Amino acid sequence: MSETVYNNEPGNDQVYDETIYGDDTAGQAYDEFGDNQGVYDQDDIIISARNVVKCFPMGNGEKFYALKGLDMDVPRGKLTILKGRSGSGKTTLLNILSALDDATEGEVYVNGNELNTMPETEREKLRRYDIGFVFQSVALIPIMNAYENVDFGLRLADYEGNRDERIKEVLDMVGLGGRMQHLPSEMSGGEQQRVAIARAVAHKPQVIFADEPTGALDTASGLTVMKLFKELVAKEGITIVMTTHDPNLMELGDVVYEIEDGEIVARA
Amino acid sequence: MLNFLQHKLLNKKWLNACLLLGIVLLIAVMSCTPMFKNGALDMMLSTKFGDKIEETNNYSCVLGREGSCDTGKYPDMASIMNRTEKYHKTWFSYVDTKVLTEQVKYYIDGGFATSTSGKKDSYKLAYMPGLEDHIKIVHGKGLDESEVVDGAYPCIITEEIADDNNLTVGETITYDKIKDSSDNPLKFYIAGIFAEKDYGDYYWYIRKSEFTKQGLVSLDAFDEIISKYSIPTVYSTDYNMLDYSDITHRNASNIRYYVKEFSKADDHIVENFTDVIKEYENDAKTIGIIIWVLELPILVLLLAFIYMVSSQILEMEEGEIAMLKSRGTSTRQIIRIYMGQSAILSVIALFIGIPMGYGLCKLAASSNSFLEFRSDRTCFYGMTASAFVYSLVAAVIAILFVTLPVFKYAKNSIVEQKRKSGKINVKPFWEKYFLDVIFAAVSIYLLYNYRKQRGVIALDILAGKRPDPLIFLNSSLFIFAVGLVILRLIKYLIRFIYFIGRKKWKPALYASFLQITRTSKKQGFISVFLVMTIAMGIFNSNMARTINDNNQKREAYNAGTDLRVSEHWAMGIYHDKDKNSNWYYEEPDFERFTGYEGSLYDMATRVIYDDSASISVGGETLDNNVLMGIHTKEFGETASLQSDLNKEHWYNYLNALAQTSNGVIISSNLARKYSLSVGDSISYTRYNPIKSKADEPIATVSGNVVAIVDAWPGFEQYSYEKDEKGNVSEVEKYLVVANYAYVVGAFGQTPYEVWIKTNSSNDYKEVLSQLENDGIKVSSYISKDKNTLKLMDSSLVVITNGLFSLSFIVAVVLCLVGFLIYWITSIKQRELLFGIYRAMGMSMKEINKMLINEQIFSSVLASLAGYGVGALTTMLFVKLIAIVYLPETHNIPISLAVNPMDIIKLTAVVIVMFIACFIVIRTILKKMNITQALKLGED
Repeated sequence: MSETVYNNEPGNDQVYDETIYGDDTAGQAYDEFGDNQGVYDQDDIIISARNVVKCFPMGNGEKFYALKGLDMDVPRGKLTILKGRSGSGKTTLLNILSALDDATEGEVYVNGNELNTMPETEREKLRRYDIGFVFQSVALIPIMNAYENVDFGLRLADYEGNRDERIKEVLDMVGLGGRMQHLPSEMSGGEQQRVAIARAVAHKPQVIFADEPTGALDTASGLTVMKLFKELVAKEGITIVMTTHDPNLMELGDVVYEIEDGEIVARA
Repeated sequence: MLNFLQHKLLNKKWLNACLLLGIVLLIAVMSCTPMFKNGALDMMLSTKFGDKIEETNNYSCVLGREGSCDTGKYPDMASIMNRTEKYHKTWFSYVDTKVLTEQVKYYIDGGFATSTSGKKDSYKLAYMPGLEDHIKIVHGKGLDESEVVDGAYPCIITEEIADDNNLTVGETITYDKIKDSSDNPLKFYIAGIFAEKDYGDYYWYIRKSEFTKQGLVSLDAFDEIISKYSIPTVYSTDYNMLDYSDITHRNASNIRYYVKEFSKADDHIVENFTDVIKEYENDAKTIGIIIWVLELPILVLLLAFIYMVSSQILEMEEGEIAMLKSRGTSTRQIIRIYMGQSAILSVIALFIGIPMGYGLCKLAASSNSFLEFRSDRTCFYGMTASAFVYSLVAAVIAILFVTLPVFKYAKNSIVEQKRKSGKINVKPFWEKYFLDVIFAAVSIYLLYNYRKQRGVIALDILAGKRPDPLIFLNSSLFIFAVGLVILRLIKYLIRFIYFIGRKKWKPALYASFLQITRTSKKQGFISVFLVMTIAMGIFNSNMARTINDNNQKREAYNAGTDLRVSEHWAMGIYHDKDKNSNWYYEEPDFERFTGYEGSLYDMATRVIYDDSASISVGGETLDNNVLMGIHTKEFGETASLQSDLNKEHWYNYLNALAQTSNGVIISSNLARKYSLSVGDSISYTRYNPIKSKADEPIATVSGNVVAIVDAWPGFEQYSYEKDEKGNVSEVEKYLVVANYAYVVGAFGQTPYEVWIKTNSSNDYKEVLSQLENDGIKVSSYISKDKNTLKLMDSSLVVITNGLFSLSFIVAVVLCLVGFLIYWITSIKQRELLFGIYRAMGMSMKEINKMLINEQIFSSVLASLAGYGVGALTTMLFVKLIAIVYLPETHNIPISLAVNPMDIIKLTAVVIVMFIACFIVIRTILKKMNITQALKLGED
């Protein structure tokens, strides 16, 4: 669910003042987890966010802070989970980390390159070649069948190898080798999500971002998807960042950030 | 409920505005139909009356009575005139027209009378009420200034009676047998001689020149004579000149019925216009059919548009409907919601549509040619009750067409909707069952049949039968069917192109190809629209141009030059010593005409034009053919001829004729008939100009064929004759052109036509009025411009130009709006998809590329197909349909006329459409935010 919905919930529509959640608070939040910094080698951090603030203008001219200056790191080759309730800001954070959206303040480094100062064409390249996306639902292109959806991703990323083989390989991997010619409308939600994963992984990106990949699925399908993610991390060494509100999935993550009201409240 | 509907309408205000536009146009076109039809009918009726005046040189709408009156019953003029009044009262209580003027005459037939000079002749004495207002006295005095002299009543006589009988003012004429009680004979004297004040006055239904020998006396005198001389019978003629502009489509048939009833009851009734009305009634059916036939395609297009927009709205509201369903709203309730919605739109549309229909009617009526309008045609009048009825019918149809697609959606609950929503790539039914191919085949078969029957069709039209509407409808069917076939082929082509490069397509092209081929049903609609509009535009413009152009060419050819005038020549008759009557003509001074050359007009030449000459070849004689006697040089400079009709330039033939004094130019049909070639000889004959001796030849002379021509200025090779049964047959005419001097030498001096080439500063009217001012009495004339103008004013041509222009404008508006909404909704619906594309790293440039590619392969190709289908339809159908308008076989065969400006205008509209569309799409896409777009998917 979106931030606006959250903001409409009674009792939650307090206005945040910039002076209260300014640099001080952000710094404080950073310090809170500062002692954990040493766990990973700096080289193993693929994405790091520093003091990320995101605010949206509201209808009444005031601003709504979705992210209030947070810091985080995504370790390479691990499954990172951003956990939080609806409207906590986790999707906003994911969008900023994946170069889909700009942070209002703060820096995001991907492989050491700062996203905010990166020109849009570079960001496009980044999304195209180095990132794979799995969205909550309807992320597939409805006019293309499973094979073509994966193919489209490969074409976008200028995949150098044999596309046909790779498509079959990834679809087999997600267990849909037999349904390549099916259109999204002819598949169940879980199957669609698996095709989306196949597409996200096919061009061998460095990171896969998944926004509530299990959100629209039943428990069994959700577990299948999570199992796939674990396998991808284990076998292909891919970095995965996903959001979820499902507490049952948390233990599957290598790193879990818990987000509440635009701030990171826990890390495990 | 109303609030809810209002909210619903405003929620999709743009789409609903489009829907409103469609309904408004439907109502406008429908309500315009009866107005336009009535206007056209009235115009046709008044043209018919006007034509008849010109044809007969007499007023064409006269109702009256020729009878007698017994003075035993009606002893004095007061009672006699009262009787006439009573007749008028009865007639005009049924026939509701104004009377422009009446020519009434009461007369007595007095038998023989003797004049002062001793000449005996039979004379009438007459009284004509109101005569003094229409005459001028040229000799002597008027009746009001004269008195009874010596018992003789003063009278006035016409110039002609005075001239023909050598009567002069002052002469007294005494009846032999009419005497009063004291045995004094009835006497009258000629007080004055009169001429008409205005020759064109409708009063002169019976022209003064047609008056038999009679003296006209005053009312008092006439009244006195009746009683004093015990006249037993007073005769009367009573002609009422009715204002034919009061006879319209509304009352024409009634008037005809009443007048027929009067005639049945009273065989003294005279009238000359029920035939005109009858002819009109016959032609009116044709007009009615042609209007509907020409309007049908645009009505179909409008309904399709309404259906399309309505479906589009419903598609966007599909979820809403499904939700209502799952909350327990019944199908009927949902249908009622949409009916209410469309009813609101229809009511609004009625208020806009009817005045707009009036405007469209005026616009169509003022069209002079395809998409050309002039403002001076005002005989089309406004609102009629039927216009409202038609509008209401249109509104109801609109409601039905808006609600029709609801049935499809209203049945689905949310579950079914979810299941269906993802379905793509459903073949349209026409494509599945090859309806396009079947329709195209049917249309081509019909076309083939009609083309075989061209001759019969032409003769039927000439005989006044109404044209087969299928001839017209078939062209629309063809456009539609072939349009679909081509769209099918385009689809195959796109698949083929996609297939060829399927391994290599860049993502943008890859996605756009799949988009086009997988969503062809949706695009199909707008593509059909594009093809139909453009093809119809091209076909209509070419059709209208061809009719107008060929009409003008033929008129120009038939006239032969700008203006041809004839004068009245005095003919003298003398008897030679063998008691044979001989004739001679006095040639008026031709110098009067040459004097104007270079000032009033460019050139003038004498042309003997005789269409009752005989041509003989090898003992066989062909009667009633055309002989022209010309001055070759002047004729060449005055007459005009389209250059592509003969094998050589016609000046070459003139030169050949100039070199041989007894040479003749003959028409090629004559040459073919008798296998004549240059150097052969033929003979030709002219006949006595005295009517009673018209079968006596003046002379027969032979001529050497110096040239053979397919076409010649003023020579119409075919004429048409109607028999009593109404069947029309084609009669072929042959032509002989000889030197003027040779013709005069052989047949004597006979009246000629003066052919005049006008200049740019004076038109034919100015030339004619100048001639009249200078005392040249033109008895008849042929004007190219006048004929052309008359043709352009003929109701069939006005209807065709008007409706073609109208259809085109409406089609363009629909196409423009339809195209825009199709694309806008298509983009809006695909916002999530674009979000995905953008998220996956596609740049805006690539998205644009994708959309351009999509436009090229769907819309641009469809537009090109429209041009192709339009051109094809033009080639196949225009000449066939033109037969309805130009049924006569003519020296100038019907040729296609294409005005490049029309195509340019059309193309400009199409290009503007594409550009506008692209700008709107870009604006929408620019505003689009990736993360916002992606959120759309999270439901």
